[in-house]
Amino acid sequence: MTDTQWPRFEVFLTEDEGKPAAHVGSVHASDPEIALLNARDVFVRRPQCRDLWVAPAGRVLFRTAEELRSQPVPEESNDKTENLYLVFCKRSHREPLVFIGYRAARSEKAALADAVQEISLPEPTLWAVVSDQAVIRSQAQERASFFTPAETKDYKQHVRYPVARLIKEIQGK
Amino acid sequence: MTDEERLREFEARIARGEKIEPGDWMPERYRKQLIRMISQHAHSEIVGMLPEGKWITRAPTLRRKLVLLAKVQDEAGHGQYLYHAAETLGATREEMLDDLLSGRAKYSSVFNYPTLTWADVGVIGWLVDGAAIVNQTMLAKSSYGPYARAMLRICAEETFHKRQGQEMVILLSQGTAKQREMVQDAINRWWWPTLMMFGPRDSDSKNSPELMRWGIKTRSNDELRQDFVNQMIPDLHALDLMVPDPDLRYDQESGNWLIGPIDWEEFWRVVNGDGPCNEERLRARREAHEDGCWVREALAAYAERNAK
Amino acid sequence: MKFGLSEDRRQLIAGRLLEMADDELIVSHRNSEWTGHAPILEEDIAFANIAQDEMGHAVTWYNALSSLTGQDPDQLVFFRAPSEYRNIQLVELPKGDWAFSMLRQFLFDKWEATHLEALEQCSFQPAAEAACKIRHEEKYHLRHTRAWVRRLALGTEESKTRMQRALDLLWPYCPQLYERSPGFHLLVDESLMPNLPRLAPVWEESVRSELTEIGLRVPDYRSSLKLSRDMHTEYLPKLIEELQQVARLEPGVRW
Repeated sequence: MTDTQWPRFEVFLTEDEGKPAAHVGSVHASDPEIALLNARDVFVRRPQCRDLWVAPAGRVLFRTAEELRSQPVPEESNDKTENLYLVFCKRSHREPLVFIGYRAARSEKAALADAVQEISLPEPTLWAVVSDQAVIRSQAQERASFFTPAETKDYKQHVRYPVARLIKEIQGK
Repeated sequence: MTDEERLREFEARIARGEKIEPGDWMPERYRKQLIRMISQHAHSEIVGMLPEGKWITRAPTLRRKLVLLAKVQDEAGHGQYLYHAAETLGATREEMLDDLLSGRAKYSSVFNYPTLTWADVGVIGWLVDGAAIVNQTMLAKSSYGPYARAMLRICAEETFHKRQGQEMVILLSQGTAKQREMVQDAINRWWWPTLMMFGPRDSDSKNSPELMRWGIKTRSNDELRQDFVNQMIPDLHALDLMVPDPDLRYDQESGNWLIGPIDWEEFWRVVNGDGPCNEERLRARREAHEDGCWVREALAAYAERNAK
Repeated sequence: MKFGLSEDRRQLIAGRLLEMADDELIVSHRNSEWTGHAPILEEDIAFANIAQDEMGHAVTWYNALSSLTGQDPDQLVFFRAPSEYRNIQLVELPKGDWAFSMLRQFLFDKWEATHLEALEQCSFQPAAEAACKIRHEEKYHLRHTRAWVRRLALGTEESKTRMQRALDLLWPYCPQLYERSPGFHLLVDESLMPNLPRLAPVWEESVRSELTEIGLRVPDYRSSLKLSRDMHTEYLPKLIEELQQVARLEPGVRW
């Protein structure tokens, strides 16, 4: 690890119950625990957040639609054991990269190949796959300390600064 | 596909309003321009923490302390979003930070001016963040996905920065004689540096046509600057505050407030590193970096040992 | 508001709230001095976040105090003399190096965890309710400071040396966390406030075991410093002067 570089971790955030986790960016951290804390400080300064996941960037496989067209994912047929993978996709350029489900597969590429076969219309613009083992998650019992505090800081809401009213008062004088 | 064909397809995608994502083919110049722009933007956020951060300890009410503490966190966070976007284009944070600390990288020259009084904090919030919002609203439509997404987040968080600054300036302008003097003085010092944030005149901007075609920039420097001026002047005058421009006049026909000449010599001097605080800002960041070396080494050592 | 309390009980509680508020205000002040100077960008956000939370806690306690006595929080903060402040000396010490600030925050966070848990059980409702909310934020602080203290203590020879030095400097100031001010026993007798000295061994035991486990040497001696909250170090006047600089330009105006 170099001095200012620190390994990168991709960050996924679930806003609310019923909404899927979405990829929001990445953070640098020296290890997974620090990565989770950094992700919270960088990405959850405002509501809403229910769950936060981080995964080492090197463990996340990204493929754009363009890349898949020019180099389709090969079917792997060695007999490694099956593991659980998280699959994300971006259905159009307007939508975020979101979690669509788990796939049991022998590798990231195999999991991606499976998912690509299942979902064809409309063609997603971007895919991401990561092993479940590589993902570090915030816990449900931590929500009160990790995420609820962001909701209580109302001085970050621009409506708390009544500039229109102040200007009216001045003009009324 | 030849490079020429790829380029045509790339430009057609942008014209269709599609986003370019990491991994998509892009011209090398597109990639380089974006890295330059995004990293400069990130550096600006990071450097921008310093002039305001030093007023947290002196903020005159508890509420203002909370606001400033929230604001500097946002700025550091915005820097993070932007470094991430640049990283998706192949830049490393190592390189970008090295460029910043060595003085090679540019950042918004507005932060090379000193914050001399408490009123400066309000004026920075209203004027500087206000100008940044005008620029950022345009950038949120950027053709490059990660940059556009980072900008949307930033714009949403930035609105309160401007509002709290505006509220501060309003209160000072309606306060005691000392307060009114303080805020007018701050505006006198920050007005021109803020206008310079929009960059050189269109006639002096060599990169612009290409940036426009590639959806990196969708409006010109002069257009954005004019928008900002038209927004600010009536609001300032409503508070009996002036801008230090003897040539300022309202043009009935266009509906524009026309400003006097910008001192472009000063602009280029400050952009090239010779502003009042350039050295001080970089020195502070460099010292923090050097003093913090043992900390980063400790974390790396711990991680290495625990990875085994 | 009277909360069904006698005048002298109200004064005693107000006094205790002032102590708690001043502790938070001053530690937040010291933490915010790191803004833009943290050893890595991520910690600029993290430490500013902790400072922000502590400032929020200070506001909560000043507001609780205000509901008892009618005093204005901004007046209290910006127009008292240094000698009138009631924070412990631990929080007013200069920020030192990163090890010092991080360890100080850790020791303080460990105390808050113990203290707030007990405060939640007290019969003075406003404090009990506030303690409940604040505990959640403190839990996150502790997670952060604990992670850092651990990494710095176990990192390199240099980081361990700095942590040990910080502990040796800070330890003598810790007993003041649970020192009682005059009249406090009356509040304890009526369960209005927690029994601070009884919390002391809980805190000390927990801190000792955590720090020893990561290779630090916790001093055995009991500090001979007899500190009361109306006594301050030479560092406080300069801190207060900076704190009050702008507010004192024009007393009683809107900012």
